Amino acid sequence: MLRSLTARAAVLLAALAVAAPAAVYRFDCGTDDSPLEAEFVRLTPAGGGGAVWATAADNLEARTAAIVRGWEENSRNGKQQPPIPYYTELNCDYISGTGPATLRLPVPAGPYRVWILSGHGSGGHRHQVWDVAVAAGTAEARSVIPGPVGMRQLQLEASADSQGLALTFSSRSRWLVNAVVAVPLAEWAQAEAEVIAPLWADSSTLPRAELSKWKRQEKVFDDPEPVWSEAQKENGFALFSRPWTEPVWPQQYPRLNEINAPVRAFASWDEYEPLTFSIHPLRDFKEVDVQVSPLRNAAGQQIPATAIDVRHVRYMLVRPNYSLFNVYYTAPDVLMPWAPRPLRQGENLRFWLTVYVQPQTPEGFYTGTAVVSLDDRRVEVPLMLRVLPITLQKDQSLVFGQYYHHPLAALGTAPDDFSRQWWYDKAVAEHQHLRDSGMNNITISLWGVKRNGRWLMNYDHFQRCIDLTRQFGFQTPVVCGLPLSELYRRHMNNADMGSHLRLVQIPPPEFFVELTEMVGSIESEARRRQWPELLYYPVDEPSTTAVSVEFMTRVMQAIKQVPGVRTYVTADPSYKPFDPLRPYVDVWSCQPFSLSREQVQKEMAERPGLEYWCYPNHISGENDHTPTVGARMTFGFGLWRSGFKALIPWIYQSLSADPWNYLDGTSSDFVCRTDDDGKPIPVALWEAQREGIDDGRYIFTLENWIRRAEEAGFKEAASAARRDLQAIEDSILVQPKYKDQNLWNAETFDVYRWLLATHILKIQSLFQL
Amino acid sequence: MLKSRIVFLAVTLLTSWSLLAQQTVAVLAAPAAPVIDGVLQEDVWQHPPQFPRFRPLGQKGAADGESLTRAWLAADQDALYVAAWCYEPNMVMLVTGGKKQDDPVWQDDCMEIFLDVAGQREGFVQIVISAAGVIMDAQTSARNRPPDLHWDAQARSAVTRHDDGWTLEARIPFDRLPIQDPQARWNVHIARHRAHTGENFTSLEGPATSNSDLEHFAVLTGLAVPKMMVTVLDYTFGEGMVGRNRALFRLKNWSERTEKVGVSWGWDDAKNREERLLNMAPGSTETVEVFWELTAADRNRTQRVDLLLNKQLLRRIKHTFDQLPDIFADRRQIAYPFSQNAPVLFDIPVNITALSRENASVFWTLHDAAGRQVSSGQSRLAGPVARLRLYWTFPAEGVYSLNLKLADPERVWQEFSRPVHFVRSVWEP
Repeated sequence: MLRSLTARAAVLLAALAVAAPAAVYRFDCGTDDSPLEAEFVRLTPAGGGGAVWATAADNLEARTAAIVRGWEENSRNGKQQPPIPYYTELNCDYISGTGPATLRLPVPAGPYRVWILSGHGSGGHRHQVWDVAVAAGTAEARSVIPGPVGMRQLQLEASADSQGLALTFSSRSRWLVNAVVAVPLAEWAQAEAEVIAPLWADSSTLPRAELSKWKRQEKVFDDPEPVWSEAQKENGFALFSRPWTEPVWPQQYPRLNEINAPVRAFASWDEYEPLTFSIHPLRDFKEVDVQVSPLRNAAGQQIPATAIDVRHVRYMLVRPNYSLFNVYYTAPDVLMPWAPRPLRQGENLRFWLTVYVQPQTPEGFYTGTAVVSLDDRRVEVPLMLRVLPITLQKDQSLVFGQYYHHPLAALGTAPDDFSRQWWYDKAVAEHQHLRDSGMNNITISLWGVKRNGRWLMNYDHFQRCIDLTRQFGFQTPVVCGLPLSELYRRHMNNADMGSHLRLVQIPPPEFFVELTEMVGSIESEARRRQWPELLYYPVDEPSTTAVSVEFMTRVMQAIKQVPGVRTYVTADPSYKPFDPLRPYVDVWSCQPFSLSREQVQKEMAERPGLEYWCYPNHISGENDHTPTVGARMTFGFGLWRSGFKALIPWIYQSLSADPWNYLDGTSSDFVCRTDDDGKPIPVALWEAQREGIDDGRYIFTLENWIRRAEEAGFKEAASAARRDLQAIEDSILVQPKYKDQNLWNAETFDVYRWLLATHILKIQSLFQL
Repeated sequence: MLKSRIVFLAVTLLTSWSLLAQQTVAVLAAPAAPVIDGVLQEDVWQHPPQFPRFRPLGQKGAADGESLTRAWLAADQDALYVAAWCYEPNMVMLVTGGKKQDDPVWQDDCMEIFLDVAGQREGFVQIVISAAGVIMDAQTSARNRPPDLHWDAQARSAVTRHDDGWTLEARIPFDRLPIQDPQARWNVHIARHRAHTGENFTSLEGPATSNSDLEHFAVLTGLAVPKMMVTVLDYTFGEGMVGRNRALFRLKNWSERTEKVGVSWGWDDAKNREERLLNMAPGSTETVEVFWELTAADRNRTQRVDLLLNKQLLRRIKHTFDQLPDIFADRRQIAYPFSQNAPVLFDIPVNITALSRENASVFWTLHDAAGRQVSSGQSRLAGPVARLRLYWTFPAEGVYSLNLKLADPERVWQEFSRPVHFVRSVWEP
């Protein structure tokens, strides 16, 4: 029996060998003794397998990192954490250089497609921005990888002559290459499926052996398959439109009322508005593309195509919670800049257009088209936008902030000009993105050490961060982290407080005296430099243990010894054990709207300076990447109904290990991504936050018009508007967390916003010049 | 023959390998039911604890040295018994905020017992017992589902405080556990929370990252539930809305003989109960279908179903209808756009069971601010949402009153009135 099995296996293997592409040339770059991927030839700076570098080996550098699979304990939070990253034999090592270097591969003459794996710059500088350009003849491919963890794949077509195939690597900073695979063009499809795709999956998610330990739990939907029309079957796709607040999952069928539904939106001046539609492919397409026309009104006036940002929703493999391992599923998430792409049968493609309406755009209806081409097919999707002549106002007393890892922190240590400029550009682009999305606040941390009796702080860095926020009009108080751990270590024999004060003990009285001095000196500097108000934020989410509460109480008390300063804590004010903190906390920031509006308003009225803020991580992608309705509700009507003063979720950009791999790292990545050029790439949840803020702008604008109408004697219009505003408020099912239950549907949001707009239009018409 | 031996060997090896890889714990046989008084004086608790060491959750290798916690598991034919000894040098700091059943005592100093009685590592029941002896129990039917606090283990517990710790005893009757297969291998996890220090400890040896880390639950061996020869494979009380509900209980006879099974159901607070007797053939599966009526007045009442074998209680299932929705509960949309060319569509959720909506219709009238009826109609209730179509025959935007009546030929279920705001569609010039 065993013999017969062996014989069968041999036959199977022989068959597979026959089926594999005949000539795939594979080179694994690294050092003389770094791990070698199976079936690859070793390539070092000295060459290998007949491949040669047409540059001195001295100009090239090879590095390798150990492949680790065991988990280790993080002493700060006491949790086991996986290796970062999960290197494979292919990407644990690389060759890099700064100047151009030509690699000649020993392949027979003919046309090829070349696949280049590039990334995981282990041993490189932490703030190195790798810039990899590869050229072959006139073909060129380029990628940028910020930091030491991240993978890219490049492809280009090239011709080999009798001397082989020449690839020239160059960089504006430093390039690196892990592997090169050259495939005769005719055999590319097979090689891509059988060789390249598995290797890329290993590098861009988790190595197969690791991923096999994870459970894939895809969302299941019960939408029935529609009866496709003859035209849909012939075209090979169905066009459908779903409200943008509802996710389009990869395998979900369109609902009947969505098929060929109109793609339309309305917007006021200086407002961004999404327009989305989707394709459900009934067969594979090699290339899908879209061209969007300008939108024109009946008079021929137009909103240019450049005012329409075209993206598509990228499906990501995600974890059910940022801290979970071993379970994953596919979720619609990132809004990628549009580029032509293939389409697989049964996997939806959602186009996400965002229109910007400039101030003073003539009011009225604007129409245009999105022309989608799918191989030889072409479909025109009508678009409609109604422009409302409303100048929206915004309640400037509200804070819309984000926890933030500041790219400017990399400037001082970035190893070259390109890297330094990249981090700077990233910071500027992100601030612009924040502002354009309605945000007016980020967190900034101070760090420092005490030397010779004086605190040496990174004031100039802080200043640069403040300057940048001012450049984009942020004027709200700044939540400012403090180097409390440093102070604690100095007084506690170099002990660590632990994550969330897990390991804290009460330090001697001198610690608290020195804390007061430190905050006093920071505050003096802040006043000298005319910074906005700093909210002192010594510890994130202190634990609820008795020692933690006692420590926090004394810390806050010590900070409050400095005249005029306010303190900030991320803790739930409704949690009784935190009561001792109350006299010393000025700004409570909690995840849910955990106190009633009545209590919040009463307490804030009774104690000037006291504010309640909210950090709604449940709608920022920390666990679920798709509660768009909840995000919109939280940032708009929910905040309005809560009485809270701020929303400041964790985080603008959560990065852990490879930013495009949500399964690696100690926790999952979520929210905005970064393009290779440093520009922000939003996610659907981010757009929902902006739309919620816009809902709030409509509310605030109407409230102001109502007051003005009342003062001017337009009682009837004011009272009708007030009545409808109240009715909308009454229709909110008030919840501590608006996420995915008992929320309004998309139509309800739209009709409420439109109801607010109609009242604004009516009242402002009474005041027309 | 050789082939079957090889297969047997392979299966045995695989099974042994998976058991070797998984922490395994043998339950103690309780010759007599321990007295649940929090005093661990019974003989069964004098055995070495099956869980002699607890280690900090999420960390490995930290259980060296003196363990703060020890736990035992024992069973007789009716119940599982749990005992624990929790060393606590700082007894005055014990947190015991929970006072009554199902208070959130997981925030207190507590022990938590997790049982996967289906052995599938897909769901579990959770019994949390605080240092004050207060119990919170819940059933999580599948991964990533929220726990159902309605589930009642009917467990009993007692705690005794000492100078340097506290001891716990608890009885968890089999007849409340969702046992589907009496032969299934249970998986278990016992955890401890020290609220005043914020520490979490686990009985698991594997690298568990959370209390509900099913993959690392220990396998419980030596457990026999001989009485559970007939089990409830799954059940539903119906839709849990006003109207005629259809409850289903799927039973299986696991024994090798025909069993006489009784099923009785009714309100927990009512004297009259209905009963049905079944003769279940060996290995057979039967579905008991029960039709019953739920009214708005039944909010917060509890339905109870008992499964009896030879008149002895095998399984008791309860469900309290504390979330009974109003028939016309949904008032989230109060404004509707209208246009001249299309009807206004009202999608009104109607919370009534499918059986009761078979002949039901929603009758509606619309009145303007002066009280004049401006439109009316009726909509047959074909699904859970009544779609009303209002053809726009009156010109003014504004607030109207929509009067709704849900009725069938035999009765009026509910009448309800709500304001609606009509606003001209944004798509009309």
